[in-house]
Amino acid sequence: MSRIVKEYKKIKKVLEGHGEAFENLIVQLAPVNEYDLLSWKATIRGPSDTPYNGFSIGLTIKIPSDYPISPPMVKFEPYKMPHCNVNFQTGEICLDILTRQHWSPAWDLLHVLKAIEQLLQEPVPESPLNVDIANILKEGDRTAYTGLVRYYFCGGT
Amino acid sequence: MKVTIKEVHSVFAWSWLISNHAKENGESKNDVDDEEDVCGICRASFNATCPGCTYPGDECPLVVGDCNHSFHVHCIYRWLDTTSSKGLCPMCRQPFQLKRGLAINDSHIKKFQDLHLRRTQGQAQEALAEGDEEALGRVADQQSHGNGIIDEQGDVIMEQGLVVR
Ligand SMILES: [Zn+2]
Ligand SMILES: [Zn+2]
Ligand SMILES: [Zn+2]
Repeated sequence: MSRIVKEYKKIKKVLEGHGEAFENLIVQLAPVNEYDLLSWKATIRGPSDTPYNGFSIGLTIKIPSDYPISPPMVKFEPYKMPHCNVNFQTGEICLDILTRQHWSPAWDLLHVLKAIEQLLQEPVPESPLNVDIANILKEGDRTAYTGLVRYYFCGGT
Repeated sequence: MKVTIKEVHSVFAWSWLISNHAKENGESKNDVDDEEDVCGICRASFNATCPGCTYPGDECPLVVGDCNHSFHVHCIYRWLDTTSSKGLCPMCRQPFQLKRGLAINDSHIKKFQDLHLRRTQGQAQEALAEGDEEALGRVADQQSHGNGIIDEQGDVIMEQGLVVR
């Protein structure tokens, strides 16, 4: 049985409530279609101590055929996610554990979502994919940061 | 009553005897899914096979690392055979080497040494091509933990004085 099948079983168990650690984070994490475990969708809740609080954020996950030797390919939905380490147009995420250089096959999709949650809590403006947001963060203006994130979410571009 | 035994069918159960060091070291078990020991890479039980094999046991054996992390030999070999693994254990990120003096590791030691050699050679050639002295030093350093050293040309000199290009 392939690794992703094992993970799917575990994820179902966790989301049924045996894993409190994920309750606040994951709204949904499932394959797009039960018969194709290489293509997944996730929805996470914006962490409470961030400007993302109150928003649900969508992600797409592609599982490479040699997973978990290679990392999963995880993106936010295009034109949805304002974050200094996310390319707004493509949804691409700048996160070290998702790169081949830093990935470990010991990790799984739940680890990846945890790492993304942490990225929302601790943005890294020094390696930006969204310069506007990075600049505001560098200035240290929390109010402007929250305002800009919310402006994006409410349909601004 | 008289019972006549016509035939005897023996049924055996087996399981891998895995060292308990990892648990003794206070490593917490993954609380959700494993009631039994699973391979950290494929998440299948050690007593089952890796995803590529059909019959457990000799066809899909286990190996134990110096760091006491165990894997199906096929799983860890596949990982270590990538450049991105950098030769590290997926669980603890220490250089992965087979633990010596364990019967289940014995038949794999040569294969893993060759792999280690191939990887460090590849890295040395890469560093050499880029003229990256620092990386070369690092590779030589790594190599000396194995069983050979790398000279300035990026050739690997084995303990026996054998030069491998
Ligand atoms: Zn395995
Ligand atoms: Zn196998
Ligand atoms: Zn280890």
